[in-house]
Amino acid sequence: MTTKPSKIKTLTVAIALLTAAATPLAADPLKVVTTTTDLAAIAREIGGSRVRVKSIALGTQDPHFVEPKPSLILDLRDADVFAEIGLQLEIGWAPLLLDQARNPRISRGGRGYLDFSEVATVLDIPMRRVTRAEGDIHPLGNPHYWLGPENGKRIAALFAQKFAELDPDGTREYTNHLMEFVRRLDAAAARWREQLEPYRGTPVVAYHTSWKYFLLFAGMEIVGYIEPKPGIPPSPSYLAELIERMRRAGAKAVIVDPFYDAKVPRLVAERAGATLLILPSSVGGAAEADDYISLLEYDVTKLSDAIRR
Amino acid sequence: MSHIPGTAVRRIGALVALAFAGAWPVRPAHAQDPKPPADTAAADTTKDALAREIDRLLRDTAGVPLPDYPRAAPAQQPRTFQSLNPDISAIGELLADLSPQRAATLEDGSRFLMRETELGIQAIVDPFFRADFFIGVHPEEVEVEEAYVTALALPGGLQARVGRFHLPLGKINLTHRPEILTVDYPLVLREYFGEEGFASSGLGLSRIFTPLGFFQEVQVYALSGIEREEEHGEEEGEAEEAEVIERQRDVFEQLAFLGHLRNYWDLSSAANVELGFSAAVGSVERLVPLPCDPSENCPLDQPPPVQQTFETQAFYGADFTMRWRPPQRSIYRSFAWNTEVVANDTPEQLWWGGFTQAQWQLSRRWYLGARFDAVQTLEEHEETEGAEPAEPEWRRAASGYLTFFPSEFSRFKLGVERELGALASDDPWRVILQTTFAIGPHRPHAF
Ligand SMILES: [Zn+2]
Repeated sequence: MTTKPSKIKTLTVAIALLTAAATPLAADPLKVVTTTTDLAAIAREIGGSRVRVKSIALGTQDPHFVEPKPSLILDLRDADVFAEIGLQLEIGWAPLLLDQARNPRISRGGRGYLDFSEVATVLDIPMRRVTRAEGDIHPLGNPHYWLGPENGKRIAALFAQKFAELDPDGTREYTNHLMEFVRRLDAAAARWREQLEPYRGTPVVAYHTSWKYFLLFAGMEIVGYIEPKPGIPPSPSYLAELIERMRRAGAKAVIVDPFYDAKVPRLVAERAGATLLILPSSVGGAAEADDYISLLEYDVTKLSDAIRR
Repeated sequence: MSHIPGTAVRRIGALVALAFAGAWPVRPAHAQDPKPPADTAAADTTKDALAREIDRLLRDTAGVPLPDYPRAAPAQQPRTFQSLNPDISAIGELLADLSPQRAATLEDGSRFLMRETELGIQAIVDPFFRADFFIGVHPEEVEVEEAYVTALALPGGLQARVGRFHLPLGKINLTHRPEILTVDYPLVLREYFGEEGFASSGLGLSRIFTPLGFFQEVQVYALSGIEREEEHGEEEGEAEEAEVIERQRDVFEQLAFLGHLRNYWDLSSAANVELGFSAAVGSVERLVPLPCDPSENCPLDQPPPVQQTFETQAFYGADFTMRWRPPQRSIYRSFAWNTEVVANDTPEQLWWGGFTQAQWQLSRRWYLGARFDAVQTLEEHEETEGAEPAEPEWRRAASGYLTFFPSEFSRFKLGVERELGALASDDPWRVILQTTFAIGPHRPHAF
């Protein structure tokens, strides 16, 4: 009685192995390559075991400046889906990689190409003629939209749609994962808002405009940025003026992405009597921030802790 | 390519899994959600549910409201009207000769020279091709530096290129002069190919391989020639006045071929190395003075007639590049070291040349670089008279560079160069300030 099922189990496992060998594609996941770890994290949430996801940039890396290494071409050559943030965040490296990938599935306009700026709510879209006097990056708008939780939902939705299109058999799973992700994110966002409620309107400063989406969600008042224009390092006179403005406003925190040199922000924070806060702006930027929701969780907690002090 | 085969196979896999599911005490990993095949109605409902959810999420900003989003949802705000225009960019390059003692060393003998204005026009042609044009405007001429169309994805993982382009004889030659780490191309490229490096017209094919587990790329080109191009303002040789007895080139004499093998390894997330090998072969014109007997129809006051011949010439190259850039400090710290060797195989002899250069990034905007050059040459470029080949000598130079980038689109470079060895001039120092400025969309730089 007890031996029989285990024999059947052995037999079926053997057959399963044989069939698996004969149809290697049967369990072949969709190969997804994303430019950033945030897109990768959300793709994993939605795709589950039906996708295999790889991010080109690391979470500790400035996504504006990634080296288009030839080894990355190999990942793109076999990819079914390529996902980018868009708005020229990756302009220095992604187009080169795509051109060399020889993979029409993921080329611009291909079935597997995704630019999430098409569905995200985007800030700082220039309403008049753009010139580089506004800085040497972000000419089409602020591309750091993933740090706003409602854009996280839109990213998830577009992934679900694309995965279901390319892999219709997984539609039910993708739908369930999407609903589950949205439910968890909504619940977390409600919690975060509650957590941040006492600090609503607190004046803060960030290094780069990457924090704009997050700080608007968090209800903070942005006094200014360490960078005078996106991508342009500050001059001493600009910093003096910023410190003055921070003192007047009573700024509580200076938020810096982990890939920027903290020397100048530290000085500014000290002089203005604010707390220097090195916060990950991408999944993997800190050990605790290992998925999308925990990234925002980590940032919300660190920010409210810093302000409370 | 379409995804259908994969899906079909997966469907079959799911069916097989279902067939075994009855006897299956443990469900296989890839069929966690086995769906009864008859359940198409349910599948449709799932699809509708997904569509509704997606629609809601993409439309509705109220889920997690952000207080001060001043813009309408992007659906109402298309922002890619300009996308059908090609990307048009321009790079201007001004050289200032600051050499303290020496007469000005710039092409036209002046102290300031707008050496080049390079116009780039680049666009995706259609789903299959992209086109790139680079027009160089020089003080005395306008030339097409590169103009090519690339077939991005051909069957078999091939990529093809037709037009005129810089060729992969080493790595540095692929970068246009205003964008290289130094002010001028290395001596070896200038000596063998001209001030603007090695470019030719033809057709190229490339393929990426990974048989050994690392990145390899093979490129092969059929070209119209590998001859050194005449510089603007360069004098035609004296042979011009002599009577040239021309000879028709045969097919192979009209073609040149080039092959390049690129090997790339990641050593870590910060460091990588690249090793490349190149070979080019083609025929070059030589004008051989015919023996002349004054007693016959050959007056002394005229140069003897010359016979046009074609000789095989080959170039062999090896390039080694090491780069280091720690990801978390990628905008502040980097180091690159690049060494290339070129052999010029002419019927008379084998000439050697090469350079090694390094660049350290000191901070976000400042870089320090150095190069050492060596190339075998004939002094003064004298045409070898008849069959007596002169002894080649080594021409050497060392140079150092300090570079400042106010932004990605402007650059100031101070270069100090010194000629070395027997061929150095009396005042071997040269000080150049190069100002480079670019307008237009970001131009991607090949890695
Ligand atoms: Zn940015």
